[in-house]
Amino acid sequence: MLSDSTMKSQVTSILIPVIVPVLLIIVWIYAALKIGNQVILPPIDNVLNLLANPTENLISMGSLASNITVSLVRVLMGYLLAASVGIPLGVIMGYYALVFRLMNTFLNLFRPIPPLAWVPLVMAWFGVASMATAFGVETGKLYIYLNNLKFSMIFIIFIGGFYPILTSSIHGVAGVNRTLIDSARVLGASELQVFRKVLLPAAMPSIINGLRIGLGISWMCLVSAEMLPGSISGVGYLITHAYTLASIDIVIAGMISIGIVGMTMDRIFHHIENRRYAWQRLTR
Amino acid sequence: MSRGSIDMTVILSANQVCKIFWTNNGDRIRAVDTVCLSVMENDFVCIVGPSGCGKSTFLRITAGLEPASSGDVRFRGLEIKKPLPQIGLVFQEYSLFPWLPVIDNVASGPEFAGMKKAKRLDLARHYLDVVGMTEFAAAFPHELSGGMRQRVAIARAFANDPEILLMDEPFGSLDAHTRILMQKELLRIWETHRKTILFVTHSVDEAVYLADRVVVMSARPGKIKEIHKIDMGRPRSRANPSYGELTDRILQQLEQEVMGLKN
Repeated sequence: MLSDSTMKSQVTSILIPVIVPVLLIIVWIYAALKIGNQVILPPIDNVLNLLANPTENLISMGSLASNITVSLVRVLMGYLLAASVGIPLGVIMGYYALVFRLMNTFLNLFRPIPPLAWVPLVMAWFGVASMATAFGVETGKLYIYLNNLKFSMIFIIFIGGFYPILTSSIHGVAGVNRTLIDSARVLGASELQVFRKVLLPAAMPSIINGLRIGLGISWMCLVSAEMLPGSISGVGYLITHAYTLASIDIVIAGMISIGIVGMTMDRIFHHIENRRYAWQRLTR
Repeated sequence: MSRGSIDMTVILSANQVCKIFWTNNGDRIRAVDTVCLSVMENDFVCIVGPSGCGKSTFLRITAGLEPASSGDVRFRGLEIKKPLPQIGLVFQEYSLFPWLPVIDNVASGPEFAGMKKAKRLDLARHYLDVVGMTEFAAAFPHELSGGMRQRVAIARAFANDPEILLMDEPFGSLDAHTRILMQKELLRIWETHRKTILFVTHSVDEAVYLADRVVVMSARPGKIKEIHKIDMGRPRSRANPSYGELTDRILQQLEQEVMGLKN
């Protein structure tokens, strides 16, 4: 039996986070009625209808679900690339002061450049070349899939995810207690074992945090990447193209999907962080 | 219990060890100055000295974690250039891997050496038993008290079966009561497991309670000022007049050092 007060606190803890979204929805419903113009603010049920039927084919643009899938694959490719370069480089830079001095100024030069500012250069380099070009596939279903993965897009997403992952890896490793490394060496760890068994696990909470932020930024770079020439799919494409067709309900449904997917990915990471790395919160 | 002079093999020898540091403003600091020391097998040697006298640096050189600027430390005649499996080291604190449960911490030395999982966990269980920590095998370091963590650190060092155990103020951050308890425990373990121990401390009482020989170091640059041989049997009583006498004498020597009065 729950006591009255715990029941109450449970109810409020569920209630409080939904207050603002509900208010927003009420304002939306009211404003849409007042404005009465679909091109400025469509009624909420139009948008909810689109979200409720994500597999429905939208005029010449494919379905919401298929566009999200394409976007997810792109983001994951760029992001995995960012992680597979950022983590090893960051760990090495964090451990070897010489490598840090060698690379840091160079990398910091590029850090302030927004991913979007890379677009012209990236277009000049890669144009509309895609994974299909790389694998030499020119026809068939596979071509359609691979051609969706433009190098230029993957590069923009990579740039977005790379810096947070790199920075948090450097800081994670640089912050590892010297005594832990010395203990491992005295216990007979080789240089490689120090990396794998001490530096990586000790820096992992920080690295995971960087991965989480990096995924968020990669996902945010998506729209700019999907506005690049040659893009004929993806949520970013969907909302920009829907705008030209004055389908603001599709624009809003697309934006909400971007938000939901991003939030879900963030939640998953947060969950892993809390479960696996409780020791870090509790140490000292 | 007195230790005979039967095994007088030198296991560790420091020859003219010097260590020079350069500070960020380019100053030269002589941390350890021509230290010569021989440690016999099964010896329990304590090093005391004013803080900053280089005693921990000397221990790090002995562990193979840092090179000497000149001179060398030899293990059974071989120069120590990197950490050796025969030489273990217990730090003051924060040396346990916080992401591993106690048992895996203790098993980490054998794991680095490539021992099979079942075997190394058995070994770890054995040494946890030795230090009285069996029931905390699954606990994480942050769940333990300071004294318990040091028990685990000692078990971890023992699991590597070193011939020499270096201890760098291992009880320095414990409260007085736990500290005395841990000193007794250490002696008990040492007497059953027969290791050579080189123990750095800033507590004169601790040194006199534990050691066969107490090495007194001078203020920086750290030189050996005197080596006291202690013939009292164990367990030692702090009420024993010669215990107090010796403690007093060493304290006076250290006081002179701190006041900067070189003899």
